[in-house]
Amino acid sequence: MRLFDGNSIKRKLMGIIMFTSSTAVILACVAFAVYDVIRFRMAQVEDIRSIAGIIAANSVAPLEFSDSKAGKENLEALRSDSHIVLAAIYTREGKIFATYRRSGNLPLPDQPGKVGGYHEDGYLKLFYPISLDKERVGTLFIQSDEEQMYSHVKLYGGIVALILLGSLFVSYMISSRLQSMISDPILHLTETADQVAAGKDYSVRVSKHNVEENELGVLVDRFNEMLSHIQERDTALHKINAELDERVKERTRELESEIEERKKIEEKLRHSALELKRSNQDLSDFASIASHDLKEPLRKVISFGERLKAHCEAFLDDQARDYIARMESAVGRMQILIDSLLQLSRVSTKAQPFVSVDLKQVVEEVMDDLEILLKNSGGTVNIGNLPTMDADALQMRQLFQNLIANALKFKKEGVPPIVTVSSTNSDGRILEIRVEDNGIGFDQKFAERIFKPFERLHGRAHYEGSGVGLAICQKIVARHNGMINAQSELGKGAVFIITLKQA
Amino acid sequence: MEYQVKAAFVNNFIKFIDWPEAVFPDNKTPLIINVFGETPLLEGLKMLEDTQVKGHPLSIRPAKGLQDLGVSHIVFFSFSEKHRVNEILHSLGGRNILTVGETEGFCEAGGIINFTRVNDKIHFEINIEAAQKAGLAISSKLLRLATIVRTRGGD
Repeated sequence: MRLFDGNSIKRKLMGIIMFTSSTAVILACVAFAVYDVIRFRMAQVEDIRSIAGIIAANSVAPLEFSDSKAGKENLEALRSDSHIVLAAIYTREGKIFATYRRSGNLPLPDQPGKVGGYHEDGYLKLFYPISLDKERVGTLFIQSDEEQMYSHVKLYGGIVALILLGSLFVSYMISSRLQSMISDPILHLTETADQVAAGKDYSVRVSKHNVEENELGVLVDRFNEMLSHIQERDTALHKINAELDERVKERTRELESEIEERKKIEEKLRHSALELKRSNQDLSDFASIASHDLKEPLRKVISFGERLKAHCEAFLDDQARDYIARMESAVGRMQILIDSLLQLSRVSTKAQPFVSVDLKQVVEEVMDDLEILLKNSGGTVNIGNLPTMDADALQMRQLFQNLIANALKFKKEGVPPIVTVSSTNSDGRILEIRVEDNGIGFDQKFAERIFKPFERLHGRAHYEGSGVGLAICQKIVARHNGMINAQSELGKGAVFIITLKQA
Repeated sequence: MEYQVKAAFVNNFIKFIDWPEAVFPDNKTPLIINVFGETPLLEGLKMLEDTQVKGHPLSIRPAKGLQDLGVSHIVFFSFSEKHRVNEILHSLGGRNILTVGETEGFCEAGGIINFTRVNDKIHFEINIEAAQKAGLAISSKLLRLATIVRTRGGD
C-alpha cells in the first residue's frame, strides 16, 4: 500500500490511523446499508402485502360470482401505486380471472405460485391468497418494480461516500496532530542518533521535553544511558590509545637506538674483518717474502760450510768437524722449515681457480710420488670410492700427500702400515672423506693441537718433519669451505675426517 | 347449465349474508332452503345438499304452498310461481327468510334477491330495504356486485 511505503514514521502512523478509522467507517456503513436494504425490502413486501389484503378482500365476491369485470375494476385500484406494474386474480382452479397492467408487456405467470413475496429478476412478486371464511377461493398476484429500492440504495451509497470522505478528512486532521505524540520523540531520537553518528559526539542527549512516561520515555532514557556509557568508553579508549601511542613511540625510540648500536657494532665488525684479512695477507706476504729471502743467506751458509770443510780439511780436528756437521744439520732443518713455511703461505698466495677434479686419480698420483716411502715402510694404501668434485687440483694433491705421508710416517714399529682412503656422501650435500691408518695414534686431547703450525707431538729424533703438514691440510680444507678433524687413541691408529659442503 | 350457476350463486349468497344469531342455535342446525314451483334449480341445489356452508348442513325442500313453509331460511320462487309471488312474500313479511326469485319485478315487489340476465350473463338485483326488514345483514362485497333495487309503492 502506498500509504505505508513512506520511510517516515510520521506518514506510517498517519496512514495506520486513517486506514483503521476509514476501515471502521466503511464496515459500519456497509453493515448499516445491508441492514437498511433488508429492512427496506421487508417493508416493501409488507406494503405490497397490505395492499394485496385489501384487493384480495374485495376480490372474493367477484370471484364467487364469476364477475371478472368487477374483478378488473377492483384491480384498477392499484393504479395509484406507480411501482406496481402487473397484477392478476386467479380462480380457485388456477385460471386467470382478471389482469392489470400498468404498461409494457410483462409476462404473467400461467399458474399462481406459492403464497408469499419473492424478489426475482429485479421485481418484487407477491402471491396472496383470496379466502372466504377460511376457504380458499382464488389467488391474487402483484408484481412491483424495485426502482424505489434502487433509488434508496443510491441515496444510501451517496451518504456513505460523504460520511467516508468526511471521516477521512477528520481522521487526517486528528491523526496529523496525534501522531506527533509518538513520532516527534522518535524523530528527535533519530536526529540525535544521526548527529552522534556523523559527529562522533557522544556528549549530546535526547531531550525529554514533550515525551510522556511510557515506552517512548523509557526508550529515550535508555538511549541517553547508552550514550553516556559510550561516552565513558570512548573517553577510556582515547586515554588508552594515547598511552599506547606513547608506548609505541617509546619503544620505537628504543628500537632505533638499538638499531643504531647494532649498526655501529656491525661497522666495527666489518672493519675488524677487513683488518684481519689485510693482516692475514700481510702475514702471508711476509712469510713468502721472508722465507724466500731467508733462503738466500742459508744457501750462502751451506756453500761456505762446504767450502770450509773442503778447504780446511787438513787443519780441522775432530771437534771442528763435529761443529761443522752440527751446523750443516741445523742449516738443513732450517731449509725444511723455510720450505714448509713457504708452502703454508702458498696455500693462499698461489691459489688456483677451482676445476673438476677426480679425487681417485689424485690419490693414485700421490701413491706414485710416495713410491719410495711405501716401499721402505712396506705399507699399502687401499683406495675406496672417491668422487669427482670442484676443487684446486694442486692443493688436493698436497692434502692427500700430507695425510698419507703422515700415516706412513707414524707407523707402529714392526707393523707394516695400512692406509685406507674412502668417502661417503650422505644426503648428497655433505661429502665426508676418511683417511684411516693403523699407526701409533695419539691421545684424543691433542686432536686440535696437531693442526697448529710447528706443533709436534713427537721428538725430532724419532720422526723428521717440520710440523707444518697438518696445518697446511687444515688451511686447504678451509679454503674449500670444509672442516678437518682427527679421531684417535694412543696406539690404535688414527682417522682424519674431511667434511666438505657440496654446492 | 343456467340452473347450476344459479344453484352455485344461491350457495354463495349464504356466505355473504348473516342471519340473526337466534336462527341458528348451534352448528348442527341445518340451513333449510325451500323451493317453490317446478324448476331444474331443485336438482342443482340437491347436488349441494351434502356440503356444509358456514358450518351448517344444507337441507333442500320442495314447497307446494304456504303450509309447507315451516322452519325455513331461504325460499326460492321459480319462474312458474310468478303469479303467487306477491301473496307469499306478503305472508312471509317479518320472518328471517332470504327470498330469492327469477322474475322481473321480484325485488320491486318486496323480494330480497332477484336473478336477471345482462349480456347473456347471470346477474342479480338486491333490495336492501327488504333485507333489513327480514333482519338479514348483506355484505357490502355482495352489494357491490348487485344492482340495488327499492320496493315500489311500499307499505
